[in-house]
Amino acid sequence: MIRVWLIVLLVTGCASAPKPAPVPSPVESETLKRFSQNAVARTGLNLSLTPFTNRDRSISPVRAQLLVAEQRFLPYLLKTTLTDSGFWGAVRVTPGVDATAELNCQGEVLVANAAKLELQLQCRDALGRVWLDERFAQGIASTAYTETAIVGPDPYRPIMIRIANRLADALTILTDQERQRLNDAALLRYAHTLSPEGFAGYLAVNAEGLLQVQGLPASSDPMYARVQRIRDSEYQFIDAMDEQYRLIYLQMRLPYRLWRQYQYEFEDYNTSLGDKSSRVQRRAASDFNLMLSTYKRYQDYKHNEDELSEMAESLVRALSPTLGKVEGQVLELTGNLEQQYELWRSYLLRLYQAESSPRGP
Amino acid sequence: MTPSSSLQRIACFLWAGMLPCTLLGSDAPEFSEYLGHWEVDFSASERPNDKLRYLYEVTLSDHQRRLASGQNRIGETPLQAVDDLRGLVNLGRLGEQITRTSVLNVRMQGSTLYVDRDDNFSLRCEIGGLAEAAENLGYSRCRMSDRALVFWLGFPGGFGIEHRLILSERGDRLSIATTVAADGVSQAFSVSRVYQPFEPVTNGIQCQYTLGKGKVCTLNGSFDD
Repeated sequence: MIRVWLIVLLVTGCASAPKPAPVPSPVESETLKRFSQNAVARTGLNLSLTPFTNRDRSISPVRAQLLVAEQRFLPYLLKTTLTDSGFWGAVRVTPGVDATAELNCQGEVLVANAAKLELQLQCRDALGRVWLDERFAQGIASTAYTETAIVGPDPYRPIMIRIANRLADALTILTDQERQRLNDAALLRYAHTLSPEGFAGYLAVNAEGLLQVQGLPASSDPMYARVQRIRDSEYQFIDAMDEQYRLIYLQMRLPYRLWRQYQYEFEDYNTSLGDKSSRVQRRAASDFNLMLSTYKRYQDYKHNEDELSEMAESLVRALSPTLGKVEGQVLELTGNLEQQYELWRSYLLRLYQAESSPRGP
Repeated sequence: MTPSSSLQRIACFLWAGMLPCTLLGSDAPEFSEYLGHWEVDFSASERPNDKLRYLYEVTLSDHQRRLASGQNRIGETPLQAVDDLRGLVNLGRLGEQITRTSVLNVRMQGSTLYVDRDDNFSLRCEIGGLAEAAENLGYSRCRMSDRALVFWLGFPGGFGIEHRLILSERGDRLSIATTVAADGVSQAFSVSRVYQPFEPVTNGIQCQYTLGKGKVCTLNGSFDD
């Protein structure tokens, strides 16, 4: 019996006094800039995001496992914000850098907890120009986690709005001619990934390491037309990949939201413990409903953690095989999302190279 | 200083001393022996209500005897004895609610041992790490002690839950002894459930994703175009 009491005292006496983590003050949130309906229609640029990376090796194995899911959730949350802004053509999340997109963004998760999100984001266009290479940090207000906010925007949405606004600012200063050059560069760069020899002559690298479009193949060029057809198949495939990320996002949205909410409550609890001595804490055992609700709260937190953890596990496991048809050939792709994407790219390369020949302008 | 606060200080001291020990004791069963699917064996499991009734009667008679003979603890009054009994009943009610698990799946993922419970969250234990490695939040800990894998959870308001998983010598029974204890209640409430291994059946459904059709699943794995 003494042993049990020791356990209780340990968990309630010693373990209940961790120092609260410093919570940054929330940054005032911006309003999302939206593309004006009245503006003249302009050439749309496609933007692709890859799953975010994380280099922190000091986190616990459980946290590391959840991070696998978060690394896919966060770019999709950014995608929804970018899509809402209306400034972009197709905005997709793809397993690897998307060779078809005019703009690719890659992010790193520096801090992700209930009270703070910190990201490093870099966006490069098809010519290799850096549009953005910046650290974004945002403290999350406790009001973002109130019960009534559960159907509202994600607590991390303000940081995504800031990023979307920065990208919109960078986009709106481009002239139509510059946009068209990016469209051309993206297509030529894509053609170059399929046939480096065939399309090398259309692109050059300048002294700053940026790509320059040297010319365009004739619109009637059969090889160029074939590249465009293959790119259309690629669009179909990456849309299917993006759909998988959407499903992950939809499945994660609620448990991830609740998990962070409970995290916030625990931190609040830790902070309040620092202010009160254990003597003034109410003894839960005299009130069954209080004790049960405390347990249920913890149970909900752990349930959501389990759900996220299970999702993260499934992400690294093999998906159902994907079947696609390109140029009359049926391709069967197996493995997880990233593996299927790699397979797809190698199939396309082989398919194109089977019929390619050296070309020049 | 109250006896409770003295105990608390001793416990903190012991706690600090335990930190460097490793999770797996020398004569403990291998973790792989716990792995697999387990279902409750009702005939070998205790019933929480019976346990509570018994514990209540013993505690009640103990209070009555000590109050009648003037051997009550320092500061203990009849009102406090009633509080103690009420607390005990509350522990029993909570104990009954958290020991309804019928099916367990014990599995390893990387260096983490998971005890998945059909009606509750999974218990987790980092293998090879420090015995008392705390999670980022909450106060869940696990360790190996006397051939038992022990998880304990601490909660605000001064109550805690211990789950002690004990594997039989032959490895064909897994017992989970759950103890709920709290500050201000003289007795902890314990109940034990026994589990036996079983083989789950697979559903035989296979799926594939087609760019044109989306996800297609069949029962026997044959896909028609």
